[in-house]
Amino acid sequence: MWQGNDFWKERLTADKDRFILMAQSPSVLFMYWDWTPAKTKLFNTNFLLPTITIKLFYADTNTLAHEISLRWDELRCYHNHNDHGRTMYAVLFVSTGRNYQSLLRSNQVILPRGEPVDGEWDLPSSDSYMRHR
Amino acid sequence: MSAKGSLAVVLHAHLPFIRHPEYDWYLEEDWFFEAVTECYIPLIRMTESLAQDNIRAGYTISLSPTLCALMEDSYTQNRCYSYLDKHIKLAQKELSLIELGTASYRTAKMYLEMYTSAIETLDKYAGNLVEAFKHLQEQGLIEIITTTATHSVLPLLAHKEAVRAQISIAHTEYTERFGKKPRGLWLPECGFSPAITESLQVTGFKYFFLENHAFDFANPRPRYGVFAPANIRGGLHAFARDAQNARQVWSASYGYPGHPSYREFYRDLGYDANYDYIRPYLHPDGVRRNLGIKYHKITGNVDLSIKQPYDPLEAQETVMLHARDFLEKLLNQIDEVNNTKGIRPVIVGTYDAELFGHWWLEGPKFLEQVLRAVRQERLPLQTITASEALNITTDPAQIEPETCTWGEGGYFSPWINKSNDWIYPRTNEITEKIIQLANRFQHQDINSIQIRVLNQAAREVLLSQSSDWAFLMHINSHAEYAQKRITEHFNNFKLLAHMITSGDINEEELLKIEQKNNIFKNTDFKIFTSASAL
Repeated sequence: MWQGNDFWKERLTADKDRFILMAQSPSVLFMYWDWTPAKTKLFNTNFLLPTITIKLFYADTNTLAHEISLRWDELRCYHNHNDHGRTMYAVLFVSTGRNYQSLLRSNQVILPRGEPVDGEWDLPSSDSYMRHR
Repeated sequence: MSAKGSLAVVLHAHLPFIRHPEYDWYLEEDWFFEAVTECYIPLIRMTESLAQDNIRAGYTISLSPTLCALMEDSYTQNRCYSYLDKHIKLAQKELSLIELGTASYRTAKMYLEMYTSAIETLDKYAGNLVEAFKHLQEQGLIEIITTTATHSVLPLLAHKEAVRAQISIAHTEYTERFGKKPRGLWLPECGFSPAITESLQVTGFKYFFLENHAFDFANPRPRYGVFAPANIRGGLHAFARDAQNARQVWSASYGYPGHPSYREFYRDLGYDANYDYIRPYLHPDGVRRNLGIKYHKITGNVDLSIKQPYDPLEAQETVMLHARDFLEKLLNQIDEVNNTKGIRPVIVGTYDAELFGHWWLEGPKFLEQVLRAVRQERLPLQTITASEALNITTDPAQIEPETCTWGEGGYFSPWINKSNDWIYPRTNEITEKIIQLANRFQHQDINSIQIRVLNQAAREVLLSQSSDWAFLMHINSHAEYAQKRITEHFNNFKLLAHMITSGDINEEELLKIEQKNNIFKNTDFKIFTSASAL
């Protein structure tokens, strides 16, 4: 499948640092982050450690729900959870080795309450886009 | 006999904004020509035919603003005529070579009639099918609704300003186009989340449609389930699709369209015919592709090479049986709801319009037969538009629907996955930028060229937000085209943003972009300001 990975690499030179959450389904959160060239340089020169930490919080209680460690240049993550119906936000932390600090706070996302839905989905033909449900 | 319940057929007609005047031909433009020929015109003619027999079709159709723009565009109209001229010549040639009285002869004749009647209908409305649908609405035969400006899945927009812009432009475009305010909004992909409710309320729409699990998981669950519209808040109502009704009609595996006697979509003259014979009817690159003329029926679950000849007469007999079966099941369902819930249900059947005619060739005939039989056989049900369904609804349940789409899995995975997730950093970045630019320039005394730059920048943002691009990547069909479109709108926006912030405006470049992506002529960049965003 076509992955668009080259397009992700461009986000290492974004116009600003960003951190966005999106609900893919009741049980999967999609998150991505952009780095400016300046921040990318800090990682590339090892001023910042390559591992970043993402902490997911319940918005209503500000309590920690999940913690994920990733490489800074993965730029995206799909996170499975069991927090259907909760409102979440995330904070991205970086470390210099001595200091550990929060760098970016995401938007809030309301997760769907429901369950993944079974069913049949017809796909269009390979030569025409028009599709139907 | 008085009606025990109602059937509200809702068709969603949409194509992304695809026009490439910079090329002599462009493959993806064919989608519009195919849909016009095989779907929209057959639906128009079906509605007219019913009206001639004093039968009001009474369905609701959503015409997306991008589709309307294509229908109104003289460039796409001219290319559509060329497409039809070429297909008429091919169908005539086919007819002259096939033995009279055979199933294939009847099939070739059917195609010739389809193409010639398409020309007739286009001529009747000066090439503009918006006028045709508008005329049908003005006669009270159908209800037209709209969808978001560029068919954006609203819950996936990270900025409320963008949600409001998509909805407001849809409202304005509809009002200007059809001379009245729209009542219904088709949420692209039935994409809903509670976060967009406020934006829907303030724009003046009265109702929208959801997938059935939005009601199943609603808070509270509506007492009549999907069989009555529910009140959301502030005069806004939601209908939910009835899954049972829907599946019979659209499912190729379980529903009517997969019947062995119906026309096989995947076997096409463009691949079957001798190359030298078919070459004049292919695109200039000479690559074999589907041409729309298909001589085989589904036959069964067999290899394409052994599909049997299609016969329109046999298919028509099946249409009659399927319409009968559909109505019997519908009446049984209505009886059951009468008995168990004590109401006269509104059964909502929502479908992509392009199912009817394009995928399921016999679809318009099926729909016509259903609508005809309800009236002629005085069945105890009525076919009504969504607005009429709302008008007869008393004491609707007050609910907060659950997040939904009608895509695979019921949520957003077709539009957010590893094939297409890279688009969101881009669309969100330029959306954020247009909001900043709108806020910065809204009260500034800027000249007409600066306004043009900002308005075109707003158009580029809107066009980047179409759900179509993510979906094409997801299904790996025309993915490169979708990727090009995202990149094009992103780069156009960046160029325009640079022009406005640097003051170095290249008018020639601006005009080129304006002429290419010439949708929403009255777009005002201030639609993206934060002040009135909800």
